[in-house]
Amino acid sequence: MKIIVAISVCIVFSFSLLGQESLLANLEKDPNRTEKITGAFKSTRVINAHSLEMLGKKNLDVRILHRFGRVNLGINQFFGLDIASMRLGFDYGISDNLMVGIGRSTFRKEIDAFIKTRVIQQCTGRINNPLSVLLVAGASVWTEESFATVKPGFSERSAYYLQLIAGRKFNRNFSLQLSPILLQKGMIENPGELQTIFAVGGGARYKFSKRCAFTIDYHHPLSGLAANAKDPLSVGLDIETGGHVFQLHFSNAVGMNERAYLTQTTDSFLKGDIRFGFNLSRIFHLGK
Amino acid sequence: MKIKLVGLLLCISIMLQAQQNRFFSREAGVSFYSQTPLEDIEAHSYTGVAVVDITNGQVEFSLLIKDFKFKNALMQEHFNENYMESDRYPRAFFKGNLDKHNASLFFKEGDIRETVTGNLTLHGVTKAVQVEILFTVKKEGLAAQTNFIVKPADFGIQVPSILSNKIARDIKVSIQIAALKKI
Repeated sequence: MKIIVAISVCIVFSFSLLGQESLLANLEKDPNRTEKITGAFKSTRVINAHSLEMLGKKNLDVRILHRFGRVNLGINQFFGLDIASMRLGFDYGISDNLMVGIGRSTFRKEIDAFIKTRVIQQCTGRINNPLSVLLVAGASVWTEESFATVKPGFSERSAYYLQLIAGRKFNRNFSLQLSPILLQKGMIENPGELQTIFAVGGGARYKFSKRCAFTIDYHHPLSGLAANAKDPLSVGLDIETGGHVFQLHFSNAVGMNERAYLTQTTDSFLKGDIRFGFNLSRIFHLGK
Repeated sequence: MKIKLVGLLLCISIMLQAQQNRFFSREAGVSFYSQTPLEDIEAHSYTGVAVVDITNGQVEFSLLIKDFKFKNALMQEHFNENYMESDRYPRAFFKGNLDKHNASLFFKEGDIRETVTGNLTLHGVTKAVQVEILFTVKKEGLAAQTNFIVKPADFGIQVPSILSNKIARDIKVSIQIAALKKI
């Protein structure tokens, strides 16, 4: 019995000598280390919806968004490209976990603003968070002239939303997020509509090369929408060129802020009422 | 008889274990600098892992690419995603030997200039390299520092042509280790 024990001890020691092959073998792993998972999406938006990504501190993101007319309008409207709607936006990273943004859309001359914060960041190691969790709060007001007999006031033209984003980068190519959103409108504009709308959203990306990824962005309103409203669905291609991100996509949504794409999407994606659009994001690093 | 033999083996094993004179640090500082007329880029990490075995002159170094911190978060993201592909190749690794190793020098305080020859693995590509290291034997441990050049092209790191005049072809790398402690 003793011999067996002694032999095992010898074997163990011999192994530790063989371990000389790599000096670092047992030393490299630091149990106190936590590694943050980054780069779940190329941009701070999946396509229309906010993504799991944040801007870095002191980064200014100039975003120029275009949505064209329906592709099935044919050659007379150059497959929709003759008709354009745009949003110009500026996002800024106050810290790595807090960003703000403003924008103005041509559609209804609408101004919007938001604040977005990352509550939990996905990480591995000593601290292990399987998910990233973010919160976005935003507001918008349209400023287009109304021809109604009683002109709506500021509060009627306003809308507010609160969105929770939870998601995970599963591997270096695939990320998935869910994003329930609560939207409160200042007034009812269409038959069948409620002032409070609750929707669930989903977004994903699949990166197929270092600089290119496929994206999908979908929202399903659970309650409160007008009878003619459809679920906004977008599929796209992200191309990143170092500083610029081009998000090219096809979508049935024309709106480029939360109120607009959730409540004013009336085209059916599956019936072919889709539009080409792109988001152009250019990031500037401000300060030293 | 058997017991004696086993006992002898055990003694030898223990002696060999005791002979190891290894110095170790988990706080090696690594910086790199890319200088071009258009843009200067630098990044720093303070979590390199280094081991020097002064008995046989073996040197090993390991570094997680994601630990490099840039002033510009976007640059850091591009460095990881587009150039180093750190999800696929998480660490850089060096394994080598001191060329003219003289263990006795390491037992008295002072500077030792050595060259080390070995293999550097970066971005999944392994290449033979030779660098100079300055060791300083101090009471509180063994300090080490080295400067060398790494060419991204040698390690299959592609730079798109439109960015080629913003990223240097020769990247200066500097490693500073304040104190390797005896294990």
